[in-house]
Amino acid sequence: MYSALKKSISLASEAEAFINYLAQGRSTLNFANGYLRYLRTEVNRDSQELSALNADPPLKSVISEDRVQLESLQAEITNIQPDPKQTTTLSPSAKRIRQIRVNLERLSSSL
Amino acid sequence: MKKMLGLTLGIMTALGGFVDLGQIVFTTQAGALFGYNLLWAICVGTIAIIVYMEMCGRIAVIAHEPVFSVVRDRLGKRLGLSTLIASNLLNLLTCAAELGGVAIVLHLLAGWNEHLAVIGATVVLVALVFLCRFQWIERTFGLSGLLMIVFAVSAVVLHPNWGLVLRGLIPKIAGDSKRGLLYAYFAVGIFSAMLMEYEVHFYSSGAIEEDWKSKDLSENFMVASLGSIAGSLLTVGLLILGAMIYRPRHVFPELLSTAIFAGAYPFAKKAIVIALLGTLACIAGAAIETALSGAYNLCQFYDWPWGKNLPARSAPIFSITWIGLFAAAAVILLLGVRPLQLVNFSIVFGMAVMPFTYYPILRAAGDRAIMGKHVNTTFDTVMGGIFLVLITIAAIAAFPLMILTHGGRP
Repeated sequence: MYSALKKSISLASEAEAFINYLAQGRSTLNFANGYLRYLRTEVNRDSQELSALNADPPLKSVISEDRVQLESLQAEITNIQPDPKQTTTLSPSAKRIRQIRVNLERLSSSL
Repeated sequence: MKKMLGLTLGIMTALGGFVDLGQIVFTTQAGALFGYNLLWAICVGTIAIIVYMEMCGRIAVIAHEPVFSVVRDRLGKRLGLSTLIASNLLNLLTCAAELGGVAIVLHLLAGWNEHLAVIGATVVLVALVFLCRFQWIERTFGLSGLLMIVFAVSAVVLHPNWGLVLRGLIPKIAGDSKRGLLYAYFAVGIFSAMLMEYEVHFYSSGAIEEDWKSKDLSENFMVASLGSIAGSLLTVGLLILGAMIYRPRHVFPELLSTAIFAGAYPFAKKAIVIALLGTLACIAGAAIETALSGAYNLCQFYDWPWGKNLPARSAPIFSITWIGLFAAAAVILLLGVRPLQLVNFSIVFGMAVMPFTYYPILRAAGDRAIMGKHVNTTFDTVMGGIFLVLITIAAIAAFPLMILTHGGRP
């Protein structure tokens, strides 16, 4: 369980770092599209792994919350349209992804 | 002047061809998890590969024996055959992983569909290997791989605390037992990634392909040592990038794109393109090396004609084998196996097989009957022996560590 949560935090943190980089107009379009696609796939995989976890009742709420955050993360990554000419539109996404990461870290420290 | 040029080219080729997919991902992960605390594993791996690569080159030149003939002669037919099967299985898995990495890089570079990129890359690489002479294949990918220097430059530009980096030369026992096991797993993984068998198989076969003579032994030493040292500096760069970019963010890099992003992090678009092209050259080069190594191994074991510089019709089994390995690798990927899963497994499996490759090399290089005055010095034998012990310990520990750490998951 702890390992799965660590992976969720890792993915959120990675997405945050890359979105910030993208927001500065420093990535190529193909790299951004490809990287975001791979991130989405990993988030989806992590979410599926969580669904398959057989946890004790006290941990079920943690798993459930983790999945909610991952679904939000996936939605945020899906909605990002890398456009070298409109990097300012990424700032709100970056903020929301940062919040997802903070939520996951709080969840982790509650264990 | 010509000799200096040849030597420089050889060292640069070794540098550019030093890293492969496993090293890129594993080392970045190690930095992300443990900071600089596995620097010592890179150093130990570097010295080990220098010692054994030099021995392989020397055996190839003096005894005119490539590695797998030595393996067969020293281990006997039965154990030698088991080693051949294991090594070639490893070559197939590694080739598939590298080919998958090529497809990922092409997707990130040009947006191409990954499955089509696998097929396209297989066709292009097979055509290149078929049409080009050995030297041109080696030099093209080796020199293009020099673009990986962007990773080392990025690491320097981030201004790491060099005092802390150097402290990584001293092995540390990590906190609790779970973290300790993970630390050991990554130490074994880094060591294994630097000593992958296909590298020495390819190097020794290449020495024979390029018709090295006794007068080339100094070049053999320089290429093995300086090329490996320069290549290991790149690997150190990857470790530093993992430590500086991902460790503070609690990111465990599981994607190739994550490692490439680190190489361009301080810079902008051009650096991404350079990092992608450098990675493409290294990984494509490794795919070629593993496919050719598989063919070399088989033909050398059975004393069938082999050599890239022979016409294909003169070495039919050799040609069919390396082409077949590429094709099989492509099929594995098209069936949906993920390249980075293959990398994990091939690094651990590679470690387990290593003693059966390196022990015969040490024995052959120390045999005065075949090496004459170029036999191992006491220093060579001692160093080779020490590293063989380390390789054997790591080989025994590899699979248990993989199981206990769930494949290196933090």
